[in-house]
Amino acid sequence: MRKWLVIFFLSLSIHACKKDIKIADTDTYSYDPTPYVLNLPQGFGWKPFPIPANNPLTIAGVELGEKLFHEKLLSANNTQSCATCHNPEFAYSDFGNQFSKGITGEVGNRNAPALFNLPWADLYNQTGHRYFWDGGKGDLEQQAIGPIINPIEMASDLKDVVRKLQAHSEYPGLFKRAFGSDSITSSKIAMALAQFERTLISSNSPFDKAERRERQRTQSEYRGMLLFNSEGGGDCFHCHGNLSSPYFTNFMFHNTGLDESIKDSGLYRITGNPADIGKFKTPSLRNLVFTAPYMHDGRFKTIEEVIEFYNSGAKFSPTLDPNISKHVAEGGLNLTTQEKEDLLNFLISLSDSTFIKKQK
Amino acid sequence: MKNILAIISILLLSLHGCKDKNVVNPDENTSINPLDTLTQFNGLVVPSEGSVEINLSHVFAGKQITLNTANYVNASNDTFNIEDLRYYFTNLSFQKQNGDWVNLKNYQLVDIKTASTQTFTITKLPAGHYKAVKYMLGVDSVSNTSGLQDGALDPSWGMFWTWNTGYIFFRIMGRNPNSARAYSLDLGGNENLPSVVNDLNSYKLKNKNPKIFFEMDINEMFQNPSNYKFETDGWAIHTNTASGATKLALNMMDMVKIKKIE
Repeated sequence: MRKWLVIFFLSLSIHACKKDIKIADTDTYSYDPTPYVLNLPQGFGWKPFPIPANNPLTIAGVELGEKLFHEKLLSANNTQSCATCHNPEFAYSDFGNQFSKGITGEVGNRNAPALFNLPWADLYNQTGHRYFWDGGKGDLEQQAIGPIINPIEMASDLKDVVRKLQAHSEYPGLFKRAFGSDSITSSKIAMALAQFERTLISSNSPFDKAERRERQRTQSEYRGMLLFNSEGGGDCFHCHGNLSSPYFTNFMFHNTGLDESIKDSGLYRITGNPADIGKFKTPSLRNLVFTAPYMHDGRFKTIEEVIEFYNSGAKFSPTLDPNISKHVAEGGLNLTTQEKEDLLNFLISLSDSTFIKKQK
Repeated sequence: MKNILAIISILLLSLHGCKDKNVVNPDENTSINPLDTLTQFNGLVVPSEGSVEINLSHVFAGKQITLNTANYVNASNDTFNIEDLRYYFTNLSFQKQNGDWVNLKNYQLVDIKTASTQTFTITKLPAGHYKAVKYMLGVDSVSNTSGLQDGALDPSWGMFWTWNTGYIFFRIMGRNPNSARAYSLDLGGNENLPSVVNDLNSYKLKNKNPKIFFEMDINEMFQNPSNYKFETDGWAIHTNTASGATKLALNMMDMVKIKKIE
């Protein structure tokens, strides 16, 4: 009985706190540096990621960033927002589309990547090439501007974006609340978007629940997990991380043997180093169920196709990753049907349905 | 009578005490650190607690390594380039003249592509007169299997197998430019842990904050005592039980030399 009373009072006090925040919210136009407390996953190898000193997370900044992420005024003809191709219903990917259409209907040559667990690249990748499929940008703030101004994506002129937001009834106040001044700049737009992106953390898949002993892995999942981490099996771990790393990527760039003659030069376009020809960012294997199609060019529609590619389809080329090269030289991974199914079941267990949100 | 005896004996005792205090013992009363006064010595003298800066450079048969584009030939006549080189440099220890080792218990993950990982400072170097230095190219068996760790030992750096076999101590990758055949050698497992000892007595340096410049010669991991050949010993080593692993570990014990100390 006493326990219930305590819970009752606790819930009352929580209720009171909520109310306080609401009262503060009504004063939209005052600077509010209240820090945003990141709900970082604990244990199992999760580490805190670095946050730039000049762009700390605040509640006002993150809220503004989320609003901007869904803001169609960011595109030249006010028809597309970031969320158009990075849909929260699909782990911020453009599910089902190999290439996304920009505002003019033009398509690019890269698949819109899913957005989650991004800022750990800032911790584990020290090369300065961290974001976009080809490592084109070194931090999330810079990255956020890219699609806004890309002529085949949102095709905006940043001056127009700033002008449209400045003339908007809400944005000047929201920028003042987040950054202390109602004068909007493109760097503040990028900062707010980056703040929001840093909060997109996915850590609650069936795999995570099994790690936390909240569920048991199926036999097939367990066998798949061993295959994932074994050189004689799937040998996935060299690029997608060992089982004591919760990110399922090494945050690096590799040529995995998609093509014998490479059409998209990838990281080379950025570094100019011939050794980087055909190298693309290792994507996380989390949330695959929501993020088809796969690879930088979205060439594979299903996870099964991807597994079969690594099993039997990888091809030699001058920059092929040495760990893939070995298997190509041996004629593929030679996985059995059962092994492929086990690997698939393990990969599916990395998808986090609690991360999925309705499109606004 | 008893009282008088007691008083006398106390007086005597206290006099004795006074006498002792007045004796000048040159060893105890000197404020001069014997390590400071040492003029005739070999090795490294650290006069008071300081720190040591480590600099690592990487060569092949004495020539500075150029990643990707330069080709190298080892003792087995394998031709190959080097595209990736990462390894643990840990447990830096100094040996006193009496033979005892002082372990500074450092853990550094060195990456040939990241200059900042190749120069680093280890603090709390105790005062002493040292004749040798020792370190592991890998992770000691205790840290190798003791649960989730931080810093250089964070498994998310990718230098990790499982809690059973522990860390990848040393990784080198590249390919044969002619055949496009690639190699990928990951050395790990407690039984394959190379440790390197370098003599300091051939140097003569007194410095609270010494800098040691090490040079790692990749050629040496393929020879001495036994030649490693990709075709027979393995293009890939990815488990602790791979037969080529032991050969590499033994070869690696002499792959690092001191270039200079200052």
